[in-house]
Amino acid sequence: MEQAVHAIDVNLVTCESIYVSLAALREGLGQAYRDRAAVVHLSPADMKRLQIRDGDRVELTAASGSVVVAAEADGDLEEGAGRMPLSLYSNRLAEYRPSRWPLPALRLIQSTVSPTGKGVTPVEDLLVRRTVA
Amino acid sequence: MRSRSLVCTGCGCLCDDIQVQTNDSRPILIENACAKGAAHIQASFNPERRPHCTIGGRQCGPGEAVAEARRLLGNSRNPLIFGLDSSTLSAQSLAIALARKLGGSIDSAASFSYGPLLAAMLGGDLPACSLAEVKDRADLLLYWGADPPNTHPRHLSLHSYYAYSEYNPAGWYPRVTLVCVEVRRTELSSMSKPAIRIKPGEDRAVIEAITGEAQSQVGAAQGLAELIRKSHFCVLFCGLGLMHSLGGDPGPLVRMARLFAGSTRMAVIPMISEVNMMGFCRLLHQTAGQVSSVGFKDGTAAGREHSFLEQVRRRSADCVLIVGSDPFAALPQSVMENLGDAKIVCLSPLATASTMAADVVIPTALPGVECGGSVLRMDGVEVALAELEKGAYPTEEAVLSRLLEIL
Ligand code: SF4
Repeated sequence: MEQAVHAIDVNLVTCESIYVSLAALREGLGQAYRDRAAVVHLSPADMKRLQIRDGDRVELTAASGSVVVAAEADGDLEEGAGRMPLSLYSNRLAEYRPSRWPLPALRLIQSTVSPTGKGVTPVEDLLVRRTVA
Repeated sequence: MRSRSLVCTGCGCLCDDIQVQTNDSRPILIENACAKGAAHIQASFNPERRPHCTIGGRQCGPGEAVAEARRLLGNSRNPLIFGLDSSTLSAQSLAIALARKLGGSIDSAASFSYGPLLAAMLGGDLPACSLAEVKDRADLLLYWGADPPNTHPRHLSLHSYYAYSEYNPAGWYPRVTLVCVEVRRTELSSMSKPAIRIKPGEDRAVIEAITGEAQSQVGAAQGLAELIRKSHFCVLFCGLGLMHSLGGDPGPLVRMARLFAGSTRMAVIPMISEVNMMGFCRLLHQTAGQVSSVGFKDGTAAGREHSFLEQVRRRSADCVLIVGSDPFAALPQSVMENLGDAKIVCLSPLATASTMAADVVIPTALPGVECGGSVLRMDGVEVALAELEKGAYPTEEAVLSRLLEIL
């Protein structure tokens, strides 16, 4: 039996999702947005190595920060590749270092994935600052 | 009950065949719009999707909020105006005049997306064409790093593949070759013949293999070059996936277009999602000679140091006026955290991550639903927006004019 690994490195490709856009338009940054945006798709081989199943939580950690999202298998992905909708969740992981790349690295992010017992990161934790009366 | 024709401002397609029936000033039937367009129109009628007019989170009237915005902008040493990609041309002109009056900087999302590509197009380095020309004239539709079913849901039906009137005799397939270059499987790739799959970040290498600049061959390059060479009129729809992979540099595309110039007609259309990024870039180009990142401190200057990203990264902007845009949702949070000490004024038709972050929020009318105006579509064609119902909110033009008057 294959040994479970605690964490793997993945190259995350982010992409626009009409479902995330619709959720934001209809309900703002609420539950529907969270359900659609807080997802990472991984290869079945990587899911197996991490010994996780669809819907299990994983923590994604990149140079700029980390988020907890749900994992889903995608047979189209190769080992070491991941896919995520472009959203506040992926933007927590993205960085902007003009000395390395002239644009913010919003669409291709190097991240570590590890299984976790934590809950999905609330959207409120991803809002940079809030003005409260 | 009344019926109205509308141009949808839900994305850069600007579909002009939308019919909306209203009853008691509320839409009861929206025809022809996609789900995104319908949600966009309906959002303006949903009070929960509209922001409150606030100062420091406290609700106030628009007059008080404008006065506070004036105070913050007037006291600023380094004001920055950002957004405007979804504003009308007249609001954009007023914002440029305001930046000039303040001696501040002005920028839009073009500086980290299509700006350099639009500059190459405006400078004549990249050939363009209208979406009207695409229909029935182009014989090769090449979507590169673009995913219209998720970003521009009716792009294929209104402006390209399904908009063709000529179909092959065997069935309903249009007489045109649909090709996509993508890093993953998409709805579009399942329709494209061929769908060219490349590795993330490999776009430059593919283009340079086509132009002969690369040392090594990339598998996808030869077949793609052959397809373009054999076509009579190839339209390249550039998506954000391609622009980000090229680091915003349109150079490889310029060289590729030059290579094919002798053998086929090739034109570029950027798959801009914002309804008037093209208009803002063109206006700023006419005013300042650059499509984005312009400063008016000592005369007119343009450059990276005037870009939103750099001003935020270096913490040099001390007051930011955001107009009809949501940078707090669109950019890395690690960058936006640098605005911790800056004052933020946000003009927005909808409640967003940016209205939640702002010190002053002034809700405005949604262009194309609550007010009319003109915008430039992704192909540079001017489109007049209609007004469905005048809402309770001032237009961006009204707020910007007022600020110009009192500052
Ligand atoms: S494709 Fe875009 S412009 Fe057309 S209806 Fe949908 S959202 Fe509106």
